[in-house]
Amino acid sequence: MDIKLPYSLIEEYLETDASVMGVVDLLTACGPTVDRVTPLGKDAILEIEVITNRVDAASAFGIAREAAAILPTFGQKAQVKNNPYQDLKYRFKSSGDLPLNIQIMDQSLVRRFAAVVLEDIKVGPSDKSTVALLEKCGLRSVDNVVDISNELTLRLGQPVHIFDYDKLKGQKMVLRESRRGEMVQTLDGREHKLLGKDIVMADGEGRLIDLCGIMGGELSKVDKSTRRVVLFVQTYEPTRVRKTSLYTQERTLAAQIFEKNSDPQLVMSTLNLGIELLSKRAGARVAGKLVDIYPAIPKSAALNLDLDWLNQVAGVDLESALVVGILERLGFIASLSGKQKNTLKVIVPTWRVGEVTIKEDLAEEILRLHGYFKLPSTLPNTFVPFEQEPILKLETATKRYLADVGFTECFNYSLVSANLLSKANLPVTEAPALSNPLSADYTHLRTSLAPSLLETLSLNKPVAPGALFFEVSNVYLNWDGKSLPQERPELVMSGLNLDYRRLKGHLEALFDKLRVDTSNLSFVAKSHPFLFPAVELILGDIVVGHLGMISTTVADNFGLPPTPLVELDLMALSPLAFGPFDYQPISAFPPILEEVTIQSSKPVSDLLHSLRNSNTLLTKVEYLGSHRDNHSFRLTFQSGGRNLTKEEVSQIKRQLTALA
Amino acid sequence: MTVWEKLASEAENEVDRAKDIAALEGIKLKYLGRKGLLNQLIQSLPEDDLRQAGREIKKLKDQLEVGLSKQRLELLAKTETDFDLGIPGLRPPQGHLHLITQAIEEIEQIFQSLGFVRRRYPEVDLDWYAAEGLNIPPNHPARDDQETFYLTDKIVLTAHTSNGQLREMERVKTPPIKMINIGKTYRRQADVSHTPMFHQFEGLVIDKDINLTHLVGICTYFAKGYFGQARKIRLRPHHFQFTEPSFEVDITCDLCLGTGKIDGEKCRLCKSGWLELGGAGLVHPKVLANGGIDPNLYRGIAFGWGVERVLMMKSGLKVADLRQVYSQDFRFLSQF
Repeated sequence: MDIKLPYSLIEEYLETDASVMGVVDLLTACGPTVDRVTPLGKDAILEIEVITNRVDAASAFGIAREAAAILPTFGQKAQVKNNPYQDLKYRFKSSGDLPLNIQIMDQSLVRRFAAVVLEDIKVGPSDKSTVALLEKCGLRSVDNVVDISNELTLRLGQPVHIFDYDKLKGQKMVLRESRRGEMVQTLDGREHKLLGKDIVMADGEGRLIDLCGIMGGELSKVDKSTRRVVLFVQTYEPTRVRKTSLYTQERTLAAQIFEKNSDPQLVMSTLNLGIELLSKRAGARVAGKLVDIYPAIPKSAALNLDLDWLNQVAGVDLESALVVGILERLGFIASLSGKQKNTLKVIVPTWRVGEVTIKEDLAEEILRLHGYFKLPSTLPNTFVPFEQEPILKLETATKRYLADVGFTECFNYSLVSANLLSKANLPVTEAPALSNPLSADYTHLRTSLAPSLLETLSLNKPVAPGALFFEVSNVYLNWDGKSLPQERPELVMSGLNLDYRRLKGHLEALFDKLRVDTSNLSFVAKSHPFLFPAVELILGDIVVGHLGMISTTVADNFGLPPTPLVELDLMALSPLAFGPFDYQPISAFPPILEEVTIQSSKPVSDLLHSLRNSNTLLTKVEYLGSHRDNHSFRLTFQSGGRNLTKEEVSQIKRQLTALA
Repeated sequence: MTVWEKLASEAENEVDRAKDIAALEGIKLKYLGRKGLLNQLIQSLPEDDLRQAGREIKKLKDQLEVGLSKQRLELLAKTETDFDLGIPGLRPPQGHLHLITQAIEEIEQIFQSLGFVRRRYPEVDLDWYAAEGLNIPPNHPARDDQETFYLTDKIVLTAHTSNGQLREMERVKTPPIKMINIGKTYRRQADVSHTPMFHQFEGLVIDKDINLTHLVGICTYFAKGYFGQARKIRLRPHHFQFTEPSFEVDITCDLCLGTGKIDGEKCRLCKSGWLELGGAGLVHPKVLANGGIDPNLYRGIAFGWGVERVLMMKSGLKVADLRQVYSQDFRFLSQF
């Protein structure tokens, strides 16, 4: 979470000679990152990033405490002042006896519950310095009472709430979990229908007066007519506050603090300061007994830290005195133990309990204050055997080759819209669907790369008429709603104004480049959602893809002319790629070239296949063209061991025409 | 004139009139070929005359060869022409690898030179691998940092490549492990600096004596290799549930050369001379244990950074809107 604090407020808790930027730089290097410093007259506004596990730093005091621990490591004097942890006892006496009936239905909901009634309060505007302070923190002044509750949170990191005492029916506050369907109206005017198990407060008539830990209720709010209040400081169970705050979409500062497990010890000092400010600024006086329900002070078992282990993790040797000094400045209690005095027994302060639980956490504290920037740079002497994932090798070779011969690579989103899938005649139900999409454009994981590529072609029709495109990416298949979809890497190739034979030529060249043995490549007609005509590409008996023309309907959907497209399953292709080189020694004997025309109703690919497997002396077959059922080929006859005669060749030719 | 001289003279005339090399070849064949005029003449003469003409015949042959040679050179010289060599060439078709592919290849190369093996792990994974096994329990505040897309409540589109850490540990079982997982990641965000799909690269080294200076070393090696030897890195305290200690890694800004100022004014690009690169840390012992590796025997370091991010930072591409990188416009793609 990000907080905004004026340096002047932090200074109220930090005694140091260091300059503002000196403090800022060391905080950033060793503690909370100060993202930005904006000078404002004699002051400066600090925007600070508080990391999730350090809610203890989410306040001016918290930042000051960090600075006071860090600065001395670098020879700068620094000390905390106005330390709330030295103000842990209730400071006030009661001057009246107004009753306040507290009922906690479930102690697990709240770790500390403190409250006191004050009277003679005068609600009015805040003074100028308070208004200025709040504005520096990015908040607006509301009235002197609300402003005090905000100021307490900024100073000490402990959210409080102030109710109008007279609006509490029966002077009763019942803390319980909510029931499903209960309604509460919060101070921002929003009505919430609760899902149940939220932490709520009800008054004597059962009306919900507080969405605990998040925002106060409208029913109990302080207004101009308020004369008596309840100052109410508490520490709630973190996971419930988080859940409620997320689904009600009330991500208040209070919620963000409580969900991160703040220290209940802060409650009393905040209560003390709250009473102080309410009496000074609103004329209030304590009018009842203190309520402080606090079953257990947070405590942790002592942690053991092996200093040898610490040095091994850091990669540098640290003096034990340095380590102890750092821990103590952070509020830990550290004592050397063990025979060789190289183990530290460490007691964790209350505001770090729950967060510092293992020796690695201690290592982090010590090393960050020592200064990560002091760590030298070395490389590990760790080596693993050289390996290259076959699929990655295939993808790289494919991409590089296609780019080298003129294709432009696309990176389309894996998430597509239902509409795009339908345009390509693909079943939307087969595509994995997001349960929380961001927009209607990205709702499903694609099951084919083709629709996105067709959209790319469509987009580029006016600007790149002859462009060729490809994409290599995963598609997500076999979605059954409960197990992981199969992520299959695929290649799709197409282009604008692209002749079918040219695309096929690119495919054949690609196979050659990848050393895929195409002698057993066959094309089997197979119906396909968006291709017609369409064939399956089969190598041996493995289906490696589909090839064909985009069907007229689908082409029309995308505003495209007749367009060829091929989609390959790279995973299926991978074991068939990078075969051994098939080297043939060059024959010393001359070849004989002949042309032949075969009349046949068989597809050309079948004829080519038969021709190529017909005779070992027929070393090359080139397809020349067809006229209706007459298919012409140029044949090369050659022997590695002798001159061939014209008669031999003629005889072989006669046999070949029988293949028709 | 002897018959030889007469033949020589005829041949010379023809050679002089020859227009091209092919014609010369024809003339050579006509006069000096096996069935050429010289041989015909030789065969038509009585033996006696031949014996005496030996020297003449040789003289004729030499003369012809020289004449042919000379004429050949002259004809060749005539075909040489000077012309405007600066004229635009005729280019072969030119394709383009996507910017991201180029960035991934470069990143992969740097890590390969350090001995990392590149792996690919699922983009769509169980919440266990993507979060819970990485010490991010359900409903934990740390989940806020990654707005995750869900297919079901147990299956997510990974918001980071860190699932690769657990998967690699499960695959290898016994360290050493030294891998880089580069893959697609998804977050529920779309604006000027965020796309719903992007790429990350995640490195993991696990061995007996791994320490933090190794992390500094690897990050420095990559940063200098990718951005330039003059750059420096720093580790800054941060928090991730799956590392402890955790860091953010910064690199010196190339615009202000790490000073934070340009001509006395605050550098607009960076924060006090530093630019954020990504996260890193010592692998949390819980994560090691979840991966089946004994944290008392082994330690690991890990880092996970954005491909688009380092790409934008390096090239100074000045692409104002990150979504432009995923544009399919040929006019964009063909610039790379």
